[in-house]
Amino acid sequence: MNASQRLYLSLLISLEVALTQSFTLNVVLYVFFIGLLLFQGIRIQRILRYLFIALLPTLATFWSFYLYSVGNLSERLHTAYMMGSRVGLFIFVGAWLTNVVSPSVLLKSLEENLKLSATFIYGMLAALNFIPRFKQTFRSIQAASYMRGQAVHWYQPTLYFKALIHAIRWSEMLAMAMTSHGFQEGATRTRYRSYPYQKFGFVWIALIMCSTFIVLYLSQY
Amino acid sequence: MALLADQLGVAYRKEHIFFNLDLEIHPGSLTLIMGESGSGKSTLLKALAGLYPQYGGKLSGSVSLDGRKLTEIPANKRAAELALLFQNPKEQFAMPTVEEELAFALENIQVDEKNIEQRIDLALKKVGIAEFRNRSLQTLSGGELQKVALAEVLALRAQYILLDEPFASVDQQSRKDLQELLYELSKEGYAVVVADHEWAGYADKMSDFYRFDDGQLNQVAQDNWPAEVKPIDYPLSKPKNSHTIFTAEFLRIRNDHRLLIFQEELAIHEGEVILITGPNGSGKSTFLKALAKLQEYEGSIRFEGKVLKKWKAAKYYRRVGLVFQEALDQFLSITVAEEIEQVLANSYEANYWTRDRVDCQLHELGLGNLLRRSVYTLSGGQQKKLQVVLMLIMAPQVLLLDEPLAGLDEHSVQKVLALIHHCQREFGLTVIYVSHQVEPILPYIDRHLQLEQHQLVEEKELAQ
Repeated sequence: MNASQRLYLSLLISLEVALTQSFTLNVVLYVFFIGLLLFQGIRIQRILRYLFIALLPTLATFWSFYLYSVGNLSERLHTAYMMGSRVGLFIFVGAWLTNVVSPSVLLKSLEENLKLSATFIYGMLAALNFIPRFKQTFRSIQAASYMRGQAVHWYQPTLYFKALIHAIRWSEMLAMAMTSHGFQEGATRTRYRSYPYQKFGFVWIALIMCSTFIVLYLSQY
Repeated sequence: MALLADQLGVAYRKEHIFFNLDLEIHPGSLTLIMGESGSGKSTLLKALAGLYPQYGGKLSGSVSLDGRKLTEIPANKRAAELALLFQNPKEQFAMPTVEEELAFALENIQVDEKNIEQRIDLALKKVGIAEFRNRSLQTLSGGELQKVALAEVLALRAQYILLDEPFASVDQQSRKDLQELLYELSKEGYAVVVADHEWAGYADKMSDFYRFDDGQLNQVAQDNWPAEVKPIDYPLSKPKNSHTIFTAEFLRIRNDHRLLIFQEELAIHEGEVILITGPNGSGKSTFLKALAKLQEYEGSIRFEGKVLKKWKAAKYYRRVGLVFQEALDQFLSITVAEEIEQVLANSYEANYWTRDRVDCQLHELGLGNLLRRSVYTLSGGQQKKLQVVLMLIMAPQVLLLDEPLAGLDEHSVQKVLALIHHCQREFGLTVIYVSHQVEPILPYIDRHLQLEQHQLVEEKELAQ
């Protein structure tokens, strides 16, 4: 599967889980995606970390549906199980998508496969590349203000105002640099790396989706 | 066949940066443009690269490339003929890694996918950074980024190459190598235009020399070219006997999993003026950042006997100040006047810094008339001067300066150094410089530390 196909499968699974009410399907998919993550060679600690992150929202969702949803006790319990398991499932589907696909590969394959505008794609990429710089800049702004005898805390608007001015300036400079490096909106570009759809990718998507339908059909709970 | 500026002018709002300027650049030439900080060199190069009026500024006159008006050539065609290397190395890349960045530019000008690989290879090799191919741009130093930017320009194979202070943060050896490379390119038929502050190394390579002052571009006849400056050898005094303020033991600093510094021990004494030099990417700035509590490290650094990590930020930064490499990190307000007012209100040497003294220094550095200007619209050199002045008015006990002379003309370099030296003696500051411009600083220093093979070594010891 290429990056776009992975995104399609993630979206389809998420949509299916959101629109159906089977706890069994959620559990099967939960196990399936953890299995896929292990197959990707992801470290156990990382999976445990995902589980830990999922813990609080899962419990909160479970309790709120258990206590306040409509129906008798067993119906409420079913809703609570189903809604609670969805949270963790979405986290694992997301992890499966982002673990082996970098944002830049995903964006570029979407550009190629869905013919998205290059301006949009490179704008997104530039924004993503700014994230580490943002972190550094926050630290620098704080240090710089201390050095000038003025404390700027994380809750003070000055910090964000400065960061915003930095961002506006970066975006201006970046646009200029991109133009200078030959980027022209709407112009045809060649491709150094190509991200074509993989034939078997669609077969896999179809197979996985069909299997989920079978699970849905067979599941009682 | 030429890049031709005809009655060219650029104005921001109502202020003319320059006007009625004529210039002719031919393939096979190497042109040097020198001028004071803030004279408009960067604006001129951007105008020549066709970035105005698309990115602000009012353009008068015209620039033509081989008879075609530059503004009428679309960006993706223009980049294959004319390329600009920007002054600030951190602000010219859109992609995360070196390879992706070069590929991005080549895709824009529609180079065939099979040739992209080869062009990237060649360009990186030519600049001598083949091993950078898969490195993340985020982890490269200022000087290394400039080399990548140059490789990108070469990969585009534009015949006209404009470079805006390409060597501001490049070490001396790389500067020589790159100057040689630019000379070779001009011999191969490229037209190379460089805006620079430092004269060294151009005399035997350039074909034209212009001075850019007060919006006027004047060609200097070969007879009047300044003579090549010979390197001066200053005797270096020993470390001072005063009490130790910084000690480092078994210090390890890494960047992107690469070991930059492993220092078994180092002591810095009160009142010392130290210069740290070393090749690009060796970790000089990173070392300063570690002293400024802005960089992770292993081992120990102590300040005034207390472990650095235990110092609270607010208390520590009252004693130790940094002039950031990235000028914009320094500023807190919008206008120059607001910045000055802010430091005057917080200065640790408020008795010394009377308003008259401050005004006098600002005029001396050519900032006196810029009080109402936004710090964001100052030129690179003016920003540097303002940074230094702000931190000198603050006058913390230890002042770390990361490339304080980048983008400054010769005249400004002398003024800035004289001011730093004066304040250093007046207030008894400890000053640590990281700079690629070594010679102007040499007369003022007590110690010269070379960063070589992951270690800071006393330069004097090396010479013995």
